Amino acid sequence: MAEKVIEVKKLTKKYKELTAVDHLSFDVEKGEILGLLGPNGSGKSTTINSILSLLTFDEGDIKIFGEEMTPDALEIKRRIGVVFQDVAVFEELTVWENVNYFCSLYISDKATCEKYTEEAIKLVGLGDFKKFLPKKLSGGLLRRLNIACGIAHKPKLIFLDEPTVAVDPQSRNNILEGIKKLRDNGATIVYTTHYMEEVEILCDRVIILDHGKIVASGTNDSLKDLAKIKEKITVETRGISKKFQDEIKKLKDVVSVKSGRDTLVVNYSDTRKNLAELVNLLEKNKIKYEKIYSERPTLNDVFLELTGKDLRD
Amino acid sequence: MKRLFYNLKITFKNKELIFWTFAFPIILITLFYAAFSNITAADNYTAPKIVAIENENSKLLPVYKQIFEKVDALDVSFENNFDETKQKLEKEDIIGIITFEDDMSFPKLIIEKNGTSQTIVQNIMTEIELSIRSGKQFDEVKIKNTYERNQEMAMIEYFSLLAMACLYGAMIGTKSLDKSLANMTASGKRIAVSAISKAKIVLVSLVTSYITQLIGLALLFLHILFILKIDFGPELPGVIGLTAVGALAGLALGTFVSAAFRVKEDTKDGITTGFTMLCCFFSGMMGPSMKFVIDSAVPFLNKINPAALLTDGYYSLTNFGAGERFWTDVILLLVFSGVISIISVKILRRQKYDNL
Repeated sequence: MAEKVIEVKKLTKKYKELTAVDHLSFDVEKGEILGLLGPNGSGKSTTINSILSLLTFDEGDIKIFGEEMTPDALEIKRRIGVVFQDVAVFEELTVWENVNYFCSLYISDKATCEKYTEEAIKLVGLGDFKKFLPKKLSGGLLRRLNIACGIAHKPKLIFLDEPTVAVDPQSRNNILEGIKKLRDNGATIVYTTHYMEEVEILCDRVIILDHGKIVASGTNDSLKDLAKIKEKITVETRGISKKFQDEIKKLKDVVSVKSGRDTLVVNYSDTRKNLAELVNLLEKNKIKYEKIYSERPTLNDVFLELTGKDLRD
Repeated sequence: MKRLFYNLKITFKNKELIFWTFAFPIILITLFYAAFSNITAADNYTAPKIVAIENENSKLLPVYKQIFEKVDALDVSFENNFDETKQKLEKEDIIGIITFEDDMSFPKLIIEKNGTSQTIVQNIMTEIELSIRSGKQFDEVKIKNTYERNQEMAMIEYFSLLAMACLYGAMIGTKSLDKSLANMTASGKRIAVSAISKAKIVLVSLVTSYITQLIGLALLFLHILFILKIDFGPELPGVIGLTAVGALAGLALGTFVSAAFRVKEDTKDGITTGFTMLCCFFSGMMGPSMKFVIDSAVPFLNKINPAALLTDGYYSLTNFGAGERFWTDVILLLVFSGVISIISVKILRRQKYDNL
């Protein structure tokens, strides 16, 4: 049985009338990347802040590395790294000094601290910006600095709270690559985001939160299996008549047909030879189209089906 | 040591903070000095030099000569050449010129600038004129009181400004501690989840603030001693010591504001500045008469007002030496610092966040 790094039992946090986290229970196993997925206000950050003992909570138990987490649990904290959603650096210090400062909050040996500082800067690709002040960095580079400050001391457990918000694609890729390297180096990672693409790329397991409750959890594939829709075929075409749409609905396993301005999306409850069947029908009715392609449902589709909301709402 | 170094660097790079805590007191004290340039703590009073121009036709000149001989508050000499005397006034060798008209006309005072000495000379001349007009005996004690009161008023304003410089250190304390509080700054949140105990975080923050404050006050004193050339006389070590205690009170005040008020950083700045200015107002910075009013009406208020304790401490030290009154002020300042520091620590230890 895999070692449990985090154990959360019946965690409940209320803000007056609002229940931000509602009897939440989950575990995180050693070496995995757990994705906490949910729209804004779903309770992701509150859950992390409660786990880190930054927030008081109303009910529940939290254990990290098998021990109860408290604000004074310094030995547990020594093994934890946190990258917050807000960039948490000092404007007055250079890139190198910032990383070194936050690393020194965990590592007392000067030489080791400096070595770790260099390694963290290299990991996030800020080697050319060591002497820059944060205000001279672009948004993406600043996010990378934020990550370096949180992971420089080589923690065994890392919390990454939406680290790629407002980041350009190049920096996003760099950040995601860095996170994979951290996992490869043996860290356990809790990753919160509302970007499902990142979760699909990074996470071994996903917990979908909504209104502070777990709506679904499992691997990417097992979550997708939860959805009624097993295949989604998109046809890029114009002017599909209502009559033809009704004809598609009569095909086997068709769950729904959605018609947009330039697209037609057909959802199936099973994966058979759906694409071939639909192509034949289009040709038989002499309907021209630009492209036609088949996809598995995304986590966003799963979320939409489970909650009736889009992840980015 | 590393965190202390970085904290100092962070503090010294905060230009706004450095202006208000370092530059502002220097600017203000320079302006005060310009206004009360003849007054220093050690050299209590130097009689302003004035020259009276002889006029044989003046019937009042002999009367004034008799009076001037009795008045120690003025250093009066007599000349015949107005033009040469005017040059002395322009060169600031003298403060003013008194010219006598013929017969019974009262003399005119010519001054070039405005300042404390000029005000004192004007006041004395007015007193002399009034005594002659009323036919009463010239009252030397009243004249002495006039200039001594002027001097005392100026000194209280001057010392309350030094007190303000000490208490402005509260801003450094507030800013420094705020950087370590999870509900105030993002970096504070990161520090709060680190493997450093809250006690160490607060201690480093306090030491940083105190060092910064002492450096600021040292610069202020260098300016006072070597640029303005104000001589505190033999009580200089006591003045510096009292300033260090005052800085401690400022630091304790800043820590208290940071710990006790769960409001935005700007609001905390407003609370700190507002409280400091109010304390200085009651201690006589905006008008020394306020200090006397509080002393007589609500004496207890000035016993818990750090600015009033500092002002009184400086005043009693430079006038009466390090006696009981001075040490009472020092002890009360230490008690003030100790009590609000204990309250701050208790608040910080109990502090848990409901929201961030």
